[in-house]
Amino acid sequence: MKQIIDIVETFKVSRPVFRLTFERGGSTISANLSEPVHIYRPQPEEGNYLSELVCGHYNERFDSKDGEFSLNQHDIAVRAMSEVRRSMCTFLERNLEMRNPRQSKIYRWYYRDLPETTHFDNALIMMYKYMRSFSDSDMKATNTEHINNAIALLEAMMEKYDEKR
Amino acid sequence: MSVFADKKFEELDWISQATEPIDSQLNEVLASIPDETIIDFDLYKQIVGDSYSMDLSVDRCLNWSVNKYCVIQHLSWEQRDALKPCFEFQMDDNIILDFEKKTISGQIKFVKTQYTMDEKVLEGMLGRQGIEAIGSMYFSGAGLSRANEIMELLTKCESGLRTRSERRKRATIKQRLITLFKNNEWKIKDTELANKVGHWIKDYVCNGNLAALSNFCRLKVMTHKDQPIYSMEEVK
Repeated sequence: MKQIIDIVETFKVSRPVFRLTFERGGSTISANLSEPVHIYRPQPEEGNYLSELVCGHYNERFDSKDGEFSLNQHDIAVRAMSEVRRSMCTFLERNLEMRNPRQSKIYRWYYRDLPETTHFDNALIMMYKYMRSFSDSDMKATNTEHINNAIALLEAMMEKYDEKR
Repeated sequence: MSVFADKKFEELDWISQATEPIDSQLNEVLASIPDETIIDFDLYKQIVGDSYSMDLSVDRCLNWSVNKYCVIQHLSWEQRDALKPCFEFQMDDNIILDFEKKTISGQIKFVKTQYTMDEKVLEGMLGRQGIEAIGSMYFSGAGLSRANEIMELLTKCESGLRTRSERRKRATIKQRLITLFKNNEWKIKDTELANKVGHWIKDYVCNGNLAALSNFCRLKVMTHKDQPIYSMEEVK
């Protein structure tokens, strides 16, 4: 999780300066809050898939009372981590050579029984980075040589972290 | 005859008596709002308030102006809708709203484009509030015979008089009032007075309020003169 937090902490916010425009036949003047004049959008580090994923969850919010944009860093980190967790299931669904991958033991475990520990989260992040190195954004492997290895690693993680054992 | 005198009409100048314009509070409201309001950053914040939407609409500016400048602050949605076409925004091409410096670069103006309410708009508003009140008029027992009395005074309500259904009596009274004000049969020229008609009927039918009946009857008598009616002496 620390790797995600490190990325989130580099995020800034847009400046609260807006261009006013006429709308609806001139009876409304609108300030487009999602398109400020000085807009900030985080740039993911090239080749860093985790940075790409975290930047995708960037979400700033304009507070009209204080007149400034704000960012909920914790929220972004949590949502990014949830996507990492979900991506394990997606990977299994796309690449497991079974008729119905959702019926497999490994898929069920990654779908339902993931431990909520920092140590395990860090392992998942490492795994995500590895899987993305040979998969597209939809977790479909582009290089089939690594599939078996990745699944074996996922199984090993399941063995190690299964709390029910 | 002083009970049936129309003091407001008598006080009008000869040209107004001849042209018989419709009198309405909305003209007073319109007159009390400045012809032009320049909207700076502070005013923008006041108008928008703490709302999530940062849009500046004629509606919002009108609400703010009514609250600030007018004695009569309670306006119905219908009255506000009628006032809206009397205003517009004028704005420079490139307006920047800066929350850091708390400034608006360029000029936004809220401008009055009409100085009196359109006669046709006011005509359409005659009695409307009272008619809406009739929609929520529920009665039974003695109320049924009181509703019959009202329908006799209103005339042309035969279908309502024949039925024993409360709902149909209510619908007949409502429909009769709609037609009456649409054709301006009673020549009422004051929107507030016209709005009271429905309320008087509701008060009398639902609660047996005799003062309300007395007012309604006085108005009905005044209509026999076939003159425009601007005001009447009410029983409280």
